[in-house]
Amino acid sequence: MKHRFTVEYEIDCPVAIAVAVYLDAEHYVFLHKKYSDTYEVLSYEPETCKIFIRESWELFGLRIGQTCMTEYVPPAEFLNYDIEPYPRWLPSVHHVMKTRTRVVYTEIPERNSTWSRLEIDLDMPFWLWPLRRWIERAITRLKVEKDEQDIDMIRRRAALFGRENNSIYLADHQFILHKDHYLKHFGANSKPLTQPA
Amino acid sequence: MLDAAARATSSQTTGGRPGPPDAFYPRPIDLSGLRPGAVNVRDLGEGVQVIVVPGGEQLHVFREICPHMGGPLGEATVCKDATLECPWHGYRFSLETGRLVDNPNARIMAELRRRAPDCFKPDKAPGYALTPMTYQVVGDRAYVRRRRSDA
Repeated sequence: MKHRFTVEYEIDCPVAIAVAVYLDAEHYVFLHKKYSDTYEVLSYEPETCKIFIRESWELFGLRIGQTCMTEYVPPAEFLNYDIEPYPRWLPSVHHVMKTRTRVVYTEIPERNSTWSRLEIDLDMPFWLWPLRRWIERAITRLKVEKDEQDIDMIRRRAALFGRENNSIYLADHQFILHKDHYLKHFGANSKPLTQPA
Repeated sequence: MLDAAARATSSQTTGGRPGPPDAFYPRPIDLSGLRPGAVNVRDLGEGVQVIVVPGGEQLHVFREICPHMGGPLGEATVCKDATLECPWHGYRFSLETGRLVDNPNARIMAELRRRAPDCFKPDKAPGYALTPMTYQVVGDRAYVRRRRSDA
């Protein structure tokens, strides 16, 4: 049985900043260490912008987590799917429920801001159906909490360096995921996302 | 008493506020209120915040801003190897010198970095370093000297 829901709100920064923060993988296990303290790359397909990852954390001396395929669809779309528990024998809802997420950032031209839309598709067995709202609330809370941490970072950087300043993400020495695509769409010679009418 | 290392960046005197007055930030650091071995955030006035990490009998005083991306060093972690870990990206800086000593992401992202296209050139990385602040101790207060660039 399929349950679909969305989580939407405005993030007060240009799309170029919101995308950069998403692609700035170096902050994942530090700023968001409350949720997972280990990030491992299991495979990487640069041609298709797909990275198969494992995120894990320690619980009662045992390292547990999940594996997931992540995909970047330039300029501002991010997919997560094929989520499996780690280790595989770990009792987990992911054994019986397929989860697919899609994050899309859209420009709000009048405020040079970002509309963030997360679409979640859950494919679950009938006996989980009564719990779908509880699962929805848990996923929503996780998304909002992690975004709040990112937004705090964005606000502080905006106050220090300027609201539209993405120069650190463009710098030669700074690593971000799929940087070649980011430079193409948000670098010095990129075109505006929204063309003037 | 401050040890020899501390005297390299500070001096200890008795009496009132050190002079000249405009050489120091207006709000001194109250030494008695500092938690040893931990990050203490102090507002020096004029919008300047510093972190103070008492180590032994010396103070490590730095601007509260991470030189990498501007992270809040007030939320940094003091590690056992006398380094400070930024909460945003985990960059580690020496408390002694302020210099970047480790970017753990070089290991975490090794596979991705190795296969990154020409647009990532780690050899061009700047020598990131915390901004050190010198101070003068008077009684139980440390007065932080203005940096020339802040004047």
